[in-house]
Amino acid sequence: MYLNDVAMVAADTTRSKYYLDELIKYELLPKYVLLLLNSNEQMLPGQKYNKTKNGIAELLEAHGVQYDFAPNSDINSNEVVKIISDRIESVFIFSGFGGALLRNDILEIGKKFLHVHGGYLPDYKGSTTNYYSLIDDNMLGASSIFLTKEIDCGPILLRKKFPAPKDRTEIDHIYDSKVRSEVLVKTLKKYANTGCWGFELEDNKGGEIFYIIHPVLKHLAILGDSTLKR
Amino acid sequence: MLDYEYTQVNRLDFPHKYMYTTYHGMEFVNIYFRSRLDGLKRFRLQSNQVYINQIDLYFCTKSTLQLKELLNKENILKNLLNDFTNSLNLREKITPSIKNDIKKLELFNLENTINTDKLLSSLIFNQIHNKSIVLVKLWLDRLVQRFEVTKKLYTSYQSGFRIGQGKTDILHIYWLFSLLLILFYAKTKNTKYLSTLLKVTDLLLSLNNKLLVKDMPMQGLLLVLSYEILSINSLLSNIKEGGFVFE
Repeated sequence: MYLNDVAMVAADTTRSKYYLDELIKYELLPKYVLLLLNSNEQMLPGQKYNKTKNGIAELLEAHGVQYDFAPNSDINSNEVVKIISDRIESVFIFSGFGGALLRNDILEIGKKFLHVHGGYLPDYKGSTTNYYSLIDDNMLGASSIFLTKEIDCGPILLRKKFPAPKDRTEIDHIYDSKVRSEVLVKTLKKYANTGCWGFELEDNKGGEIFYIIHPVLKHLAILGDSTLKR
Repeated sequence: MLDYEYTQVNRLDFPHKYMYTTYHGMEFVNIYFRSRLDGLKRFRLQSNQVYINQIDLYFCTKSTLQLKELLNKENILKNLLNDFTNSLNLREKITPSIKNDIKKLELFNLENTINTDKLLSSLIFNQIHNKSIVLVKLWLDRLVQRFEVTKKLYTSYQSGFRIGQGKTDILHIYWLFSLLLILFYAKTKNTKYLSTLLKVTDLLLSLNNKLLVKDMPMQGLLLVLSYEILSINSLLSNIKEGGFVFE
């Protein structure tokens, strides 16, 4: 099943691949995908392998999803903004390279960008919040929102808490993607069933803004288990 | 052998982004402790240097008294603390000149240019005296945001507190910032501030002693470092019985 009004901007990352695998599994395919490839030799944040190994294009081809390669890897470049602006779909699932933020130019083209934040909103805003929530509350979270100018402050479509995984060493590339894709699937299912985007919490105010966690704390979050309590 | 790479090169010149850092298991945590303990030894040798800034000495004394409960738990650091409190430079009582030199926190306005050193002094003063808690958090969050984005602090910020101006290598500012972070973390136990503190101390430890000694009281740096180590060990104790064994 294609979601006719939904497209996707997918950077060539393990998270995008995870999302697409799940969307295929649950037959919630976007009508169109714009692929952002990394043209540099060096990997970009969120990439575990170089661009030939994730196989996103092959996956889309195998499932008959229309796609294009973006002319560059920058979501905010004029060329990429124009392609998205010219598309008929009104909602774009956004799965960019790690740390890529949408600037005002693209946020103001009249499209909605559906993003799944790796953290339970509004409590955990910002970066690497799941490591912080592992230390503080021994749990992970994911929340789907429509992006707005303020980081992680858009209206919340759906959010969920998850127990800490048994193996915490692969949070960045596996478990974080897993929990986010579960929330993405639930959000899209709800949309597919009702035909509208309902909000679990429209007023996404308050909470704390976190920044990239220091490696020492990241290690403590990974080393911890269910007994980790203050 | 694994190195603690975050202090290996001058982090003012070569800031670290800390993105997608690799997991190395318990070995990395041990290396962190060893690196910090080396830092403690390094700074302790400098702690007899005469330092005359009365406000800083006042901050050091008051902060030590606030933080001593945790510091006293570990003998090695307790001794250090005793050395510190016995030193002749300490200033526990506020004098009119100190009070006059600290600008009232309510007078800092986002519409004006903000002097970072003066702002930090005012924030620390308020934090120590448990005053204007909401305002302290508001300004601290702005400073944390600025530091996390650039890994630097400027001598001043233009109206709106976005664009920094002036120098970024005034180490006194980084030390005041680290002291405020540790005081705020001690009070709130909000891990966000501990994370930023670790980055600031990485930066300070990446610099050589000559640069540090002239800009901050070494006892004050020892205090920050000691409390950071103990805070990390306290979190580690929840995972590994006994935490790190200090020798």
